[in-house]
Amino acid sequence: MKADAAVERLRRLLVAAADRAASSPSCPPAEALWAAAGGELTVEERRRLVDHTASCPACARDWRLAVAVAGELRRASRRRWLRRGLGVAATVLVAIGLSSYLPAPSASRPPVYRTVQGAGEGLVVDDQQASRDDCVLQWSGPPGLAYDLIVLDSDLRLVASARGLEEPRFRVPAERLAGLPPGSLLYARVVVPASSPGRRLASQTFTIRID
Amino acid sequence: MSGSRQRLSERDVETLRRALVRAVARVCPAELADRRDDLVQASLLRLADRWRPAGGEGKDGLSSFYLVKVAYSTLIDELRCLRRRREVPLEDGSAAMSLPASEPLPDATAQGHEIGRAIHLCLGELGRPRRLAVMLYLQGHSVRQAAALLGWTYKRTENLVYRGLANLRDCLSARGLSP
Repeated sequence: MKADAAVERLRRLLVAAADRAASSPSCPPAEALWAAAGGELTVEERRRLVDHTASCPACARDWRLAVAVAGELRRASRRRWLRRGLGVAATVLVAIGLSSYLPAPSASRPPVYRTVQGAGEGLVVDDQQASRDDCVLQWSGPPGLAYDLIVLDSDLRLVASARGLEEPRFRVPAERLAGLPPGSLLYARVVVPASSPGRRLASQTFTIRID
Repeated sequence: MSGSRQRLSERDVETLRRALVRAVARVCPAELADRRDDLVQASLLRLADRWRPAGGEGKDGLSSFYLVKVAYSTLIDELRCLRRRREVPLEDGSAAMSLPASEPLPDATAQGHEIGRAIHLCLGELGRPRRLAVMLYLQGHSVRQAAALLGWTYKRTENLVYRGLANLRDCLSARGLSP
């Protein structure tokens, strides 16, 4: 059975239904949608979750996202295998001037990290130099809160983390920065897990360049 | 979803990040175009927080199977938070979740949104087997994939999709909609 143009149109409209759609407390957890879309769980559980997506645009979108993530990872895996297997052939192609026909390697586009834009968003440090011997992260927020902080390097390796900070500042231990080359960027995010029921304060990600 | 259980390398994490970015770009509505990197980055930051073993830091024992599943879950959590508009920046509660406007796709217009909602309503009027088969088909699954997920034969699933789509079109027409 082949999807015709009318079906494609219905599919696009179903996607449009998810625009601004919000999930509800009765929605299944993401893990369940992931498992069902991947063929895990029992058949009846899968049917129940598909049934839910038929009435819930937000979960229908989440289902599509599960399928898309899995598909992208499969494609990435194939690309990696192809790059290894066809390395010699690619060299020959380049030599005879056909390289423009090859797709650009996926590594050509650097990661794009969005940082805090403008003032008044609660973070003091943003894309500034900091000494690796005295790297102090500071932010501002309502008084009396306990903050959790996580700091990653540009390869998303964990550099430091802290929980329950009572002061809106954190000194990154110098030994955690010792292996990073000069000019490395750190990415940090602060959250207040439960400032009030059902409400969660969080900063956007901010960047710090260490010397 | 399938996944091997080998240890992760930095390259694996980068592969995962790219996969998340591409998947969000493909699936999420146009209004999120300016937030894709934010969503993925926030997801990975939360993921990093969750994969730490108790009593230490690092990613020992992490399997790609687990990582992908958790990455997806945290991404969905971020999306849901965004939708609920409960996550606000420190100090300024009005700015964090303001979604920058981007050029909408044709089907992301108010009319497209309305018909899309009507599709969901009409799906609710179908018998359950037809609803399930049509829903998966409209989600982009092939008949064979839908049959496997729903535990039915190919022939039965194909029949359900065919008849269900006809019912769906009739329902939309009855509502004065012609997609």
